[in-house]
Amino acid sequence: MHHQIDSLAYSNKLRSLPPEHKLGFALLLFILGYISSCYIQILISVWLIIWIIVYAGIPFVFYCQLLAIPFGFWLMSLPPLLIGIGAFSSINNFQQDVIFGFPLGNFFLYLSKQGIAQSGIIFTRSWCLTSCMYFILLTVPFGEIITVLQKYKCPTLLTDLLLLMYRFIFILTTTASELITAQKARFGYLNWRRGIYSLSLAIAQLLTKSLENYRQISLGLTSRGFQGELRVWHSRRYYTNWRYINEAIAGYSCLLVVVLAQNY
Amino acid sequence: MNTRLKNRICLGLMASFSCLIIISSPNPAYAMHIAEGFLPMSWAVFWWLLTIPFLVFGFKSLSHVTQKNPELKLLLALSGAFGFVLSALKIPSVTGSCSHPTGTGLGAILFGPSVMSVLGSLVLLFQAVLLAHGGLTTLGANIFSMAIVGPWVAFVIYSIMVSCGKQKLGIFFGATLGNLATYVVTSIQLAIVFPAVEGGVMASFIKFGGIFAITQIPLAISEGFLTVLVWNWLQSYAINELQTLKLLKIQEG
Repeated sequence: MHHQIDSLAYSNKLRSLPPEHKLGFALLLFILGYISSCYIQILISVWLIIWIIVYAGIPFVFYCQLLAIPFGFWLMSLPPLLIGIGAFSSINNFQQDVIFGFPLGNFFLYLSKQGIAQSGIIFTRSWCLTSCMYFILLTVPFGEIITVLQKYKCPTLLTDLLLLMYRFIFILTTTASELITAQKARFGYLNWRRGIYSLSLAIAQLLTKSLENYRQISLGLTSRGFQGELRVWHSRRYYTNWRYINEAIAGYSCLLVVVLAQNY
Repeated sequence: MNTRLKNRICLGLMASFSCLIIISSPNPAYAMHIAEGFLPMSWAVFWWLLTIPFLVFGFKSLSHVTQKNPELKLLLALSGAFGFVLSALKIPSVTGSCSHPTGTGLGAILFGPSVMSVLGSLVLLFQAVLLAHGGLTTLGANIFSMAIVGPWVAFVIYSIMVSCGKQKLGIFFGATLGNLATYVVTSIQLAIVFPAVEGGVMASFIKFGGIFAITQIPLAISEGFLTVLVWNWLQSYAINELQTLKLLKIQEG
C-alpha cells in the first residue's frame, strides 16, 4: 500500500504548489482542529475531503481505504469504552452512568453514558486530525518535506538519516517481496510451522542482503570521496496558485472567527 | 430468565467477536499504534516530553559516532530501513490470522537498545508517513511504548538470560516479552486517558488489555519463535554480518 501513497504524492494535481504553502495550511488546520469543538472538526474534515478528492484528484475509493485505518482502530476501542463493569453491590456509585444493563453474577454489565460521549469526541477529533495528516501525505512527496526541514535548519544527521532510509526502504521492500514470491513458488508458507520457518529465512536473508548492499554503497561512496555529507540536486519549479491561496485563507479565517466567537 | 440471560450474553459475545474478527482480519492490524487524534492535547504533550530526552540522548551519541566514521550513517539508515520492512512483513499468528511483528526484540539484540530507540522512532515516523499507521500527535506515545520500553525490556531480559548461559531462551523471552511490554504500555496509555466511571484507570486498563490480548498474545509468542529461528540462521551462516553490526555497539560504548 505504501507505494500507492508515495506515488500519489508525486502525481497529484496539487504537486506544483510550493510545499511550504501546503505544509503550512495543513499544520494550521491541524492546530485549529485540535483545540476546537466537534462541529468545527467535522467542518474541517469535510472541507479537506474537497481539497483531497476534487483539487488534488486522489481516487475516492483509495481515500476511503485510508480513512478505514483510524476508524478500524476506533472500532477496536469501542467495546472497552462503551461497556462498563461494576460490582453489583456498589451500583449506586455509577447509577448515573447506566443507559442499559443487566446483572451478571456479582457484577453488573452496562452500556456507559460517559463511554458514548467519549467515543463521539474521539471520532470527530481523530477524523479531523487524520484528514489534515493525509492532506500532507497525499500531496507533498517525502523528499520535499525533507528539503523543507533542511531549509528550516533541522539537524543534518536527522535529515540525512531520513533521506537515506527513505531510499533504502524501497530497495529493501523490493528485495523482500522477491524473496517471499520465490518462497511461495517453492511451497513456503503452507502451514503455520512452515510459515514461521519461511519467514525466518526471509528475514535473515534480508538482513544479509541489506548488509551486502551497505558494503557496496559504502565502497562506491568512498571511491567518490564521501566526507559524511550527501548533497542532492533539487530543481525548484513551483507555481503559486492564487485561487487556492484565496480559498485557503478565506476558509481558514471563517473557521477561526467561528472558533473565537464560540470561546469568547 | 436464566436461559434468556444466557442467550443474551452469548449473542453479545458472538456479535463482539465477529466484529473484532472482521476488523482485524482483512487488514492485518498494526494494533499497537495509537491512531491519530486519540489522545487529548495534554497527554500528547506529556508523552512527547517523556520521549524527547531519550531521543536527544540517542541522537547525541549517534552524531558522535557518525562524525568519527561517516560511513556508519549508511549502516544506520540501512538498519532503519530493515526495521521498517521487517515491521511491514506479515507474520502468521498462532490463531491463524495474520499480523505484523514489532521487530523490537530482534532490533534491540542486533543494534543495542539506545540505537534501537532512535531507529525505532524513525521507523514509526515512516509508518505514519508511508503507511498512514499511527500519527503525529500520538507519535510521542507510540515511540515511548514501541521504541523505548519494548527494546529496553527485550534487551534487559536477553542480557539477564545470557549471563545465566541460556542464550536461545533469552532471545525467545526477550522478543516475546518485549512485544508484550509494548502492548501493556499502550493499554496503560489508553486507560489513563479514558478511565472507567466505576473502577477508574485500573478497570479501563483491564478492558483495553483484554481486547488487545486477543491479537497480541499469540502474536508475541509467534514473534518469539520467529526471532529465535532468525538468530539461529544468522549464527550459523552470517557471522561476518553480525561482526559488521557490532561496529554500532562498540562505537556507542
